[in-house]
Amino acid sequence: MDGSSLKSAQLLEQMRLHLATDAGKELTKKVGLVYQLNIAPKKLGVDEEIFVVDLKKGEVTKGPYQGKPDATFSFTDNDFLGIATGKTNPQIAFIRGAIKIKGSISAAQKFTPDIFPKPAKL
Amino acid sequence: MAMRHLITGQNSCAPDGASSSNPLNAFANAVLGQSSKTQSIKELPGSVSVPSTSDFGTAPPLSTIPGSEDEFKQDQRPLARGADFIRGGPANDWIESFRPPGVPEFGGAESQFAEFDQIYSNAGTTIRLPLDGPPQRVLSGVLHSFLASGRAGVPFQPVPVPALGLSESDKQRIRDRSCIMARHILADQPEEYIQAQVNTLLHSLDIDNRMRGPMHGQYPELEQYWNQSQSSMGPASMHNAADKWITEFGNQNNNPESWENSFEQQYGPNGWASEFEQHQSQMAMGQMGGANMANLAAMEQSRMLAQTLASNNDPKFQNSKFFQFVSKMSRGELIIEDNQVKQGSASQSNGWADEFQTQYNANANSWADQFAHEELSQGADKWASEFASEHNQGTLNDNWVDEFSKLNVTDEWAEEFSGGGFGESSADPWADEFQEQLSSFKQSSGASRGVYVFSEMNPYVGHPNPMQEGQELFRKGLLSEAVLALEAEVLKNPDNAEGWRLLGVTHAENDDDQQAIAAMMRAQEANPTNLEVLLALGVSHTNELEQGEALRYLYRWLQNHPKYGGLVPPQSTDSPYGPDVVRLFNEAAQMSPEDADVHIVLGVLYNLSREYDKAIASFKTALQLKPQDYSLWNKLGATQANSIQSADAILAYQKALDLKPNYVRAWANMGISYANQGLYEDSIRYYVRAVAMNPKADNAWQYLRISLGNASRADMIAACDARNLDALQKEFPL
Repeated sequence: MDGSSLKSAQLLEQMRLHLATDAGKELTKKVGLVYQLNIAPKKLGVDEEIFVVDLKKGEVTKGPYQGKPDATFSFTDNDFLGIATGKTNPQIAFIRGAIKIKGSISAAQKFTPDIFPKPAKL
Repeated sequence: MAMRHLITGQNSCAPDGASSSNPLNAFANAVLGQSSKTQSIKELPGSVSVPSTSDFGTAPPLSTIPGSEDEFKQDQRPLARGADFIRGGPANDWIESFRPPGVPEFGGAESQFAEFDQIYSNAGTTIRLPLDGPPQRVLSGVLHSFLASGRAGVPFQPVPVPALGLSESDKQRIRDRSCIMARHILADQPEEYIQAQVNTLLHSLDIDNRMRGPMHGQYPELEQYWNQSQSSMGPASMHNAADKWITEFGNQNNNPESWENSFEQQYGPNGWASEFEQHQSQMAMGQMGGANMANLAAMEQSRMLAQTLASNNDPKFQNSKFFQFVSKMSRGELIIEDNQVKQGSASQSNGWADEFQTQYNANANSWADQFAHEELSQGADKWASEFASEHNQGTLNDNWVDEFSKLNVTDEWAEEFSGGGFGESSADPWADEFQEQLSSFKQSSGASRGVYVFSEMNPYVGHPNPMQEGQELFRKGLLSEAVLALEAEVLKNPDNAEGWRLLGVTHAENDDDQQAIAAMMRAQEANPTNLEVLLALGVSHTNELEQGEALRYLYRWLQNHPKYGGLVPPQSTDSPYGPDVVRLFNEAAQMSPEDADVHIVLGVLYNLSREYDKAIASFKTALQLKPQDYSLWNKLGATQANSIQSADAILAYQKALDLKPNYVRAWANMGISYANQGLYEDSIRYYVRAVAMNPKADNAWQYLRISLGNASRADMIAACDARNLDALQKEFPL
């Protein structure tokens, strides 16, 4: 996550730490899927940074997944943040065309705000 | 065709059985066709249990299927009544229908027409009401003046009416019919006007129930279509019905623009989608009730099949005869009779679909906006199949359409889609939510551009000294009140930097960083070098995860500091490099280790670079210097929380709350810490406390919703969505 200027990178860093906690381990047991996130700073599909949220192993890494992720999402920085914090409904973001999904839709449907830790505010 | 001709049936309206080409007559036929059919009007179209009895309600209810031959015959019977329509028009007939059987007509047929004509030409002038006399005459007068005022576009004057002794069922009839009638006659008027008219009428007749809101009359057009098709949908009239339908569509909607506009006003652009779905399912259900049920069922089936087939991308297949056959079947162009394929007579749904498509294409622009870059040019069928085809690349199981049609889904997403049953209610909340999202996007994008959003209805506007009042309220911890007072101050003195600053601080403590940023930016405009403002902007942007912005403001803090400004190299930069800034602040800390502020900024900077241990150390150092600073305790807690030391974080937040019990941000942060530890039930109580103190704390509401879901308290999500604080506080006391 270092060196990324994306807001999402901050959240994903927190996610990485979170997965080491009891609550995070619970999550890997419950979901057990691998998501690849292609996050664009402004415009969908442009200058994407790729992250992998591996809820099988409980890892968050930068760079594409080695193998086939259960689902791959493409969205912008803001849209991802909106979804992760519950501001944006993922279905509606999908219908708006703000998310592109590849892979298993049943896996994609488990990609909900509640898998992400919430950032506390200073 | 003038309104008058529509009603009186003159001009192009033939005065014989073909009078059904007069839309108003047809409408009235449907509405008034049988006095005992009131119930069917009241019920939403699509209900199968339409009671259908003979004309005067004397015969026992027949168990005929609506739209069946029997009913068609019944409709043929009142030919004499058709003449009635021509005489008095449906409006009079409507009034007439309140005349109980056995009571002679209000005046002869001729006088009836004359009276009507007079009312029409006198529209706008006061109508003298026959307020004495038998109740029916009084009622008739009231209803006449109601119609007249409606046509003239003037508000209906409530009239004192002697007690009419109307029975409950009479009242209901009046209510239901006047609603429908008003909507039809005043179709070009805004909905509020119609409601007001009808409510006034009902009020003056001492009918208590208000005009049914959207729940009842949500799809007035649909009701009309339903009623029309009900009254004339016999097998013999299949062709006729289709023609008629199209004509009526044309007549009623010869101004598609306005139709579209009023619809958009009511539902927003996406209302189309829900309307279409609604129409579609209702139509399907309505047709099921008809005599050619089998054909329609087959059509429905083949339509679904066609949809599935359409999702196949193979062009060979798309052009195949089988596919074309199925799609023709689905549009009703082909029907199967006795195992023979026949050309269907211009089927209703076909014409209907065409009409819709025309409308739809006219409106393609707004759709295109909604579904940016999606190639949508055909309508919902196409739309659905696009959904399908888009996911055809995956395995078959991944097909969303499949998922939804199975309806035995366990996933939350799909459940939300299908919740509340198909057709009836699923389309609506969905559309609502869409709209809500759209508006919230607008709002947030406005705020993120730093535009301060003032509260409406501020009681402190006009207060002699709102600044002092605001400071007082802030000190007392009444943050939301303080916001109002300070807003009044900055409205009065837009250049009051301190007013804006305190407003920003208040918003931050109230857990609203967007507004905090907007206020602080105004403070900075008024006073560009205020250190507190620069620090606050740095903190708020950090909270919004906006690293670049945050860094810029914190760098400016150092530049403008009288003591440390000299540390900053003279060539100023607009996008400082994080590690450089950290180095400079460390130098400053060495210069004066007793300055708590330097340590605070360092703590924020380490948060930005996610060096949480260093950030915690900096905040702890600052706390030794400023142990009573509640916001500092909160900063420590938040840093600990973000570095997954939630247990420590809760202790720090508790300190902050001991010092400032109304610190909404700390309450919300408490909730976050519990939620991140998986203690959702506990988190809910803290979120509820936060939103109870500041109902505008959107973040806390969103988190509350998520926690409710995680804690398996879906039962309270509705209360959360409705922002029902009473219910939530009762259920989750702290």
